[in-house]
Amino acid sequence: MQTALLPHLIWKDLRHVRVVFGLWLLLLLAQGVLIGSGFSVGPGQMLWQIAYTILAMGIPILQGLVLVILIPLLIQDEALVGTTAFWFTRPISRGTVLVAKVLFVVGLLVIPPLVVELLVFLVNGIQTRDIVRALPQVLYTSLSLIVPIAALSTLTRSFARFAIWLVSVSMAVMAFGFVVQFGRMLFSMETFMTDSQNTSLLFSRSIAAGLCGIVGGALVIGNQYLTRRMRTSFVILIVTVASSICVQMLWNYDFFKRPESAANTSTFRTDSVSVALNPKSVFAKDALQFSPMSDPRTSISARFKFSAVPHGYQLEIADVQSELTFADGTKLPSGKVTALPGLPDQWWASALSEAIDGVPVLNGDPDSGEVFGQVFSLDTSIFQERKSESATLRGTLSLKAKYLTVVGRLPLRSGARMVDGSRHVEIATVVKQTTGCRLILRERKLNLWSTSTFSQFNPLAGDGGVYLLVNRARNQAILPDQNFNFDMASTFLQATAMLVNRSIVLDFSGSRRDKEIVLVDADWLAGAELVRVQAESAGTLKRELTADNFVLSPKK
Amino acid sequence: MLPFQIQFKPGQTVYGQVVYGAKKAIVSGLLRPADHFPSVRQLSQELKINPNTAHKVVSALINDGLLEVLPGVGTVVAKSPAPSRAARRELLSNDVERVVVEALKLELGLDDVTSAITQTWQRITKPKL
Amino acid sequence: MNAIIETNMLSFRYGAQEAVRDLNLTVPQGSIFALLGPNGAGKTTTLKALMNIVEPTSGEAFVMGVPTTRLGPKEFQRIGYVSENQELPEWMTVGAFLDYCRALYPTWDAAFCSRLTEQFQLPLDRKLKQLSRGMKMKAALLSSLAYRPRLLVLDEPFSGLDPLARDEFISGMLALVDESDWTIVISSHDIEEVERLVDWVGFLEKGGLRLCEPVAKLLERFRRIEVVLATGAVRESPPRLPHPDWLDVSVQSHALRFVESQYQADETNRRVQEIYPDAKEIQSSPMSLREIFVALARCPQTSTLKK
Repeated sequence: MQTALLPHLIWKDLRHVRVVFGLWLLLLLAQGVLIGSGFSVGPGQMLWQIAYTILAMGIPILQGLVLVILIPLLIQDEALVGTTAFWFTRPISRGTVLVAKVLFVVGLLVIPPLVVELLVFLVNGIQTRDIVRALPQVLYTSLSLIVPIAALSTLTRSFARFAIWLVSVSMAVMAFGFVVQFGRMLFSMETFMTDSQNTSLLFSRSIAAGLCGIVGGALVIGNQYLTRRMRTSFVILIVTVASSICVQMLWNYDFFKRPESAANTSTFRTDSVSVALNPKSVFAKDALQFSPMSDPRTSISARFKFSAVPHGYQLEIADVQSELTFADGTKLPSGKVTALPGLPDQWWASALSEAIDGVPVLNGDPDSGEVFGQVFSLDTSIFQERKSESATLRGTLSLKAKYLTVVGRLPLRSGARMVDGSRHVEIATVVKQTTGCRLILRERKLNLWSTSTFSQFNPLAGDGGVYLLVNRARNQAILPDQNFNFDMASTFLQATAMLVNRSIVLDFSGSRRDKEIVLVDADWLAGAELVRVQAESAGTLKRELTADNFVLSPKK
Repeated sequence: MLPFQIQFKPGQTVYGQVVYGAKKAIVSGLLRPADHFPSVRQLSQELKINPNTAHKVVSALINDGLLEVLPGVGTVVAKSPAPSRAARRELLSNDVERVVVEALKLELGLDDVTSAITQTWQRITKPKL
Repeated sequence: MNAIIETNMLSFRYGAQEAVRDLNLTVPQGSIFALLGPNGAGKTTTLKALMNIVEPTSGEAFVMGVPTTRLGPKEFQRIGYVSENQELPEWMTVGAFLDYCRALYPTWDAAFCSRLTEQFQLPLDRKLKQLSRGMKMKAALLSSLAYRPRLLVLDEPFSGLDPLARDEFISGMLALVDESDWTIVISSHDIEEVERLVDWVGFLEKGGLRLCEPVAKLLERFRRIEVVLATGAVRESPPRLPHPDWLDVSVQSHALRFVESQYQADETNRRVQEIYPDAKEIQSSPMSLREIFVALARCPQTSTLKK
């Protein structure tokens, strides 16, 4: 390898791509400034929301596009394919060119994003430990884009051909993926449905597929430079693409899953927890159809009442396996019951109250302590036959236990702060209104894979916590109003940025369903503080359920 | 620029034609003794001929005594007695042969040739009035 | 004779088609070697194989004693290659390109380079993609001459060049000859320019070498022969088949015309008289390299006699 030539080659390459590279650097800086400045947009300010979303989504996309232009430009100046490249008959060895390109990519395309991210974190006061944990994530994000593009560039001779290949390969991959997914939907609907709800598994899959792509891409690049044997390179390419797709579909190890232990510790006795079905709450509706080939189904839902749940805990239903036994002795097992995704978090008033030292939550859900969910599913034809019959339902519920705990308390004034792990919250403004008050909070959290605040794979889900206004003197606590202002910007941002700044707007009117329960006036507020309660996982448990006189479609 | 010109014709070797051209230039007095003769490189570049050939030409001319190499100066035309009439006649021999062959082709006799030559000679050497 | 290039049963296949077939070529060191042949004869493929741009299907080749598949930076520092097919980095200016090349060659002669730049009148600040074809070829040649290579390989260097550009190109080539150790290989299907320059010729036909010898020998043994037959004797075809060394044989009214490829005055005359006892006159005239090439190209080795 001709070491002396390396600076010469790298400088030549820099001069070649200087315009595109400059643009990429500019975009990188823009993104750094956007995130690092701590600028955040609250929900409800539509214009700002749209502008911010465009920037937050657009800049990374533009960066990707610029890379798609820059990398082929860089690599194809010493094209490896064809017979017309002028460097073939010049005293430059392939190894030297490979090293020069790798140094360029690492030094100028991989390291700057690392540096920018480092600066963004430093400016925002993030701890060193978290900075270190961010580095592999940045590396992965960079490489998963750079390496495949570079690999494709080494297989093509001009930008035009590269573009054609890029489009063709992408379309082929999408088509193949679509075919496989469709096939799974048709033939193995249940696995498909479970998998698509397991968002952390899906995310693990895409990371594993990305790693596959990086390794395969590196092999292609190495092979092209060191042997120039196109056939071998193509084989490697095809194997990489195929295995990426397979991994994307079938990888089963969830990197992000937190192990759930069985719940029954010294602090959480579950022996006496039992569950009963509220038979008046049973109701039937048509189940969602995903496969046009199967018969129509009906799903039955009900409210489950839990008793003897220790104070401070609440339960969620993960899965139900049930069976109906009719009077004539026929047994009918249930089909797969699908949990409904995307519901807002349910909070049990009793558990909340326990968390805040017994202060009652006055505008909670009166039915809290009961959980609504699906209990049975069956063919609609059978439903029609048997809907009025009385039967006995026996089932096993798989439950998740959550422990509610206070993670921060903030006095009601502008500038009050709290820290919960990698989440920093500050009160920006307190606005007293005719009924109640509005609090605008600024939240900054780290969106790293390794932190518990990671929500990249399901940005629509709640963040596992809730804010309450608590007035201990008067022994009253209230939940915020349900507001449906969708914070689009931060939702999108969470998909791409590692540091997320967002505004949270909380309205406390002290009412429930438009009926005032607590008068939230200046006096009341003077003695109140803002409390954040977080639900921590406390383990899993199973419970048997028996319901006699269960009717699929009870008359009201 | 070369001190003499060569019109390359097909059929004869480059070597032959350059030697002939150089000899003619020297013998006819276009190049005088002690005049600088083009180097191999100059010959090659100006005439667009193979440098090996140019080298052979110069070597041949040196061997024939028409050129000599003076240290510090280079290749020059040799100082030698004026070329004999016989030598000069030899240079004409190619053209003579061509005339004779043409005449034979046209089935003309020696008398025709001689009278044609005489007429042309007189025309060209006629003093101008 | 010291061979700077040697091939041994070199073969190259494009899919089903054999571009070069069992080629045994030898290029003597110190020669100006012309690789001639009609289009599609395999000249460009041969040169590409010699420069390790493509890998031969079978056989082997040696350049400067090194197998072509192992040519590396050390050898390429003494080799120059110019081809109309080669793509230069179009985004660079002429000056930037020369600077780029300079770092690659330890024997780069900057003074020589600037002399040639002036001679070629190349604008240093113009981008390569803005140059005319002739200028581009000159720039490519310059970048392959400035380090005085031992071996200069030119693949169809004159195609698309106007006569002035060709002239300048040849001047540039000949500027190399100040050195004592050089060999030039030119492939062309246009030999007028190089007729005076070459001293060795290889004639490639359908992937095989038809001849490979010094030009002097070639010019010696080829003659255009015109035989004047007796008046009144009109023949459409010769009574016996002509000699296999005769090419492009044609009989018209009173004359038999052919190209003799193994000319020896007495022997040729004897052969003619064997076939045409009443031949009145046998005229032989020497042929230029171009005329020889045309005659060879007109009569491929496998074809039968033309009337």
